[in-house]
Amino acid sequence: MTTLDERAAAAAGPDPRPAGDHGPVTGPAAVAGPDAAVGLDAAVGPGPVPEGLFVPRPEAVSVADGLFVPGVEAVAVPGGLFVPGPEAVAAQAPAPRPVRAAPVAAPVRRSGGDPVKALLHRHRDLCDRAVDPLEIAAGLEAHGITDRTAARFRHRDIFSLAEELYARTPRGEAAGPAADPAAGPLPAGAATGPRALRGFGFALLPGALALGAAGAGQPWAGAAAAAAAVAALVWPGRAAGRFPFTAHLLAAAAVGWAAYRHGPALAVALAVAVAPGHLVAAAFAARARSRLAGSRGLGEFADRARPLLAGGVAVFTAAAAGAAALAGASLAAAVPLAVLLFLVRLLLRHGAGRRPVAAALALALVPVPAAALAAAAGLLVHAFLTLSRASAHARP
Amino acid sequence: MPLVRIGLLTEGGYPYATGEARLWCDRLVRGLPQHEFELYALSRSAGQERTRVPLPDHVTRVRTAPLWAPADDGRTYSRRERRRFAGAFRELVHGTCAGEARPFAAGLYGLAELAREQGGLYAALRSESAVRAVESACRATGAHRAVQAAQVPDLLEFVDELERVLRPLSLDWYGESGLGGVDISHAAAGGVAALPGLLAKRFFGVPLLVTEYGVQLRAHYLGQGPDSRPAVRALLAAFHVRLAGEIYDRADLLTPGNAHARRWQERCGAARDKLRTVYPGMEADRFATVGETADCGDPHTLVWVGRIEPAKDLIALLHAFAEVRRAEPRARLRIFATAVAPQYLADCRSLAAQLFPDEAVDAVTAGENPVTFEEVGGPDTPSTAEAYGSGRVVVLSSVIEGFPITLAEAMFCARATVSTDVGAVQEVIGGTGLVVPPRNPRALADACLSLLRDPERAQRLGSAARARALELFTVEQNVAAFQEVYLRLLARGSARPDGEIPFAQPPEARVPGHWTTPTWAPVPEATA
Repeated sequence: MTTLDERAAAAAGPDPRPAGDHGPVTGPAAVAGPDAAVGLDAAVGPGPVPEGLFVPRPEAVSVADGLFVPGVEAVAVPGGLFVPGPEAVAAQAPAPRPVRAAPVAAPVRRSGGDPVKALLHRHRDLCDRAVDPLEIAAGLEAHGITDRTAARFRHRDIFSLAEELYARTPRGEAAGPAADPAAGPLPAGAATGPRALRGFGFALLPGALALGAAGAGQPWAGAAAAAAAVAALVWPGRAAGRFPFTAHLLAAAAVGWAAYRHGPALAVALAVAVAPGHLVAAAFAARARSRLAGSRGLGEFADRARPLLAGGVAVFTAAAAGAAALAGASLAAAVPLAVLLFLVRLLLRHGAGRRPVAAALALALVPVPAAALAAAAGLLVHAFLTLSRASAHARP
Repeated sequence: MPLVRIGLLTEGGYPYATGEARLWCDRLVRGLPQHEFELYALSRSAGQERTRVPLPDHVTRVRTAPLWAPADDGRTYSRRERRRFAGAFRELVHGTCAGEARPFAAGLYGLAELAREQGGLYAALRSESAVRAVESACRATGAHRAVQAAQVPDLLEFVDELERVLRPLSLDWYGESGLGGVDISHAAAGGVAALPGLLAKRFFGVPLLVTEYGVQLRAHYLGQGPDSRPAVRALLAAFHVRLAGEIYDRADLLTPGNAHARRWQERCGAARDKLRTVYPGMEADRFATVGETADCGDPHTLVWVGRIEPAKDLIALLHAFAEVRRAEPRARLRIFATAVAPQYLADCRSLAAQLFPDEAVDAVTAGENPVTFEEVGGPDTPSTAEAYGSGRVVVLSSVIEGFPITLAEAMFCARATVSTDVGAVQEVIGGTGLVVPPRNPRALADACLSLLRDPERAQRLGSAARARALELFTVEQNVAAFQEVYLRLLARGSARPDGEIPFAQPPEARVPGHWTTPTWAPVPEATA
């Protein structure tokens, strides 16, 4: 408990007042001067305070481990030394109060020859997770350590203290990131939960609508099924850029044209295939994210993502064949188109470039039997290149 | 007096009612009506944008941009632009990972030029080539160990965060009608807020002034969650260190708000001759009545004012007060809350109830607790000033503190203070109050007792504190300091390409605004 003026010598740190910036600063300080001169502890200026020892009264200048303060009897506390102030002595003379001395033991006191070690121990968490000395400095300051405290550790300021702490923190080689792939920073996605269920419910709608309409023999069944199948494409995609819905318009044209050529059964098959497409896409996204979390390099991730995509496409192809059989459409016409739409959906969902997608859909419009197949094959190659990139699986 | 056009850059701050630096920016703008201000504000959330403070007339333009929404302009690059982007981004990331200032700056300005000419930075930063550049920089020799261990999710997260931080690069503020036209760009904080100022300096040579009351870099370190991944933290920390270094290097003048911020800035590479401490200003009028009366408050009362939260260490204060009560049974402690962390308040209340039973003078009167928890604005204390004025000694028991505003307010009220030695306390109090180490209730109690027992000393310290506060922490000194800083920056002459020859264009020659119309003449539109 001293005023700043009195401590100026002991602090040995830089003057907290910026030199030269505020000339008039000396005014108030000078005002404070007289007070400091007549204040309670002005008789003796504090000498060099022993390391780690807070002295409640500057009278105790000669405090050392031997501790001799004339006129004041030292009280030995288990954790260190306590120099009682004058009124404490006065209180002790009639009736010593044993309760009083207990909370005074400061942990830094008498920590052997290495006070920094104790500090390191106390702030081990901070030092372990710090990535550079400045982070330790910020953390120490948040714990109330100032330059004055740092001076007790024989450091000029808190930054050099933090540097020592950083340098002395043992760092194991295995201090890598947590190896729990499930707890990656990326959200687990639509793998489970009510949102996923609701999504699947929506994905079932086009198929149900189309099947119902076709079963009832409605004349607009084909058109409705085509519209529903394309709408399912729009739903997960992100609209951005100058012509955001080019791909969707082209897809609508391709599906409508195919339905016109091959009959409404094809459109119904496509609508039914929306549900498995949704499931496979969600599973692909979730698994890709979990593989992302376990990969060390981009190349490694690409190697692990390609089989995943191949598996997903294979499963969907089988499902699309089943849907075509269910709807009574020809496999040769329905399956390539369904795969094409599935790939379009995947690519749009993962934010890939729109130009190849639009090109493939335009190719599918060509009235040649193999056009849809060629478009699907071309887009498959593109998808293998694009979806094996890590950036395709980043957070949207 | 020349009229200066100042571009005030804020992030999550001034024109919005919920901003951080709102108060001092508002006082600064209102305090300098002879200058023109243009506000360039980055907002942090959609909710923040809803409410704005009313602006005075000499704020001629307000431009805002969201920092929270993706700035996807839908543009993608051609092959040549892609190559240009990859080159600049590689340099930026290399500078970040290797800790080198020059490549970092080159990369940053390369990206800024590309974004200014072509846009499309959003898509480019989320492309695979960006991730690949980060990966190769992480694997390069000389990179930090935590960075070397980065995995794919770390790379993605870093690129994602980088895209967020670099959003100011894609803004349309950098034109002759925007930041290019102002005379001084004044960033109200470091970090992202100063980024537009850096670019204005780069593109147009506009002098940059950066004011930091809290160091952004330090706030970044403290604001990181405990479960964030080490590699991402290392990468982001390296980026922010480099960004801070670049800002401190390019800024023409830095005005830290206290010596603590100043030390951080020096540490991060700010040259000493660019630093000038400008203390934050506070309204002294509110405290004039209390500060100037001869009444020194209740002689046995200790007062604590502030936000009740763990960083304020009220527990230590209560223990200290227990000691004070043992020596001085008439002592009372009044705790005034301006805001409350409910759980902590409950803890403090229960501790106070345990330590101090209710007391009454005799057997027939109702008891009263020596420690009271009150709210500022209640019937007894309608204002903060009266809260300070109600006691003889004001106590500050914090373990963490930046610039201790409550302490400065107590100084304005001419109260003797006992504070813990944290943050900028020593600097603010400057010998006009007692300072004890933090987390030391006994020392706190001793200091309080010495002031309670020596009223003359308390009064002397109080009046000295008021004198010091009036000299250093008033709004007027703050505004005057900035006024002087603006003029000094302007007097250096232009760093613009058209002002290269020394003294070829004196500052008066390029005084902006309506300098042909004298300020005393009536404005034609107003009279018509």
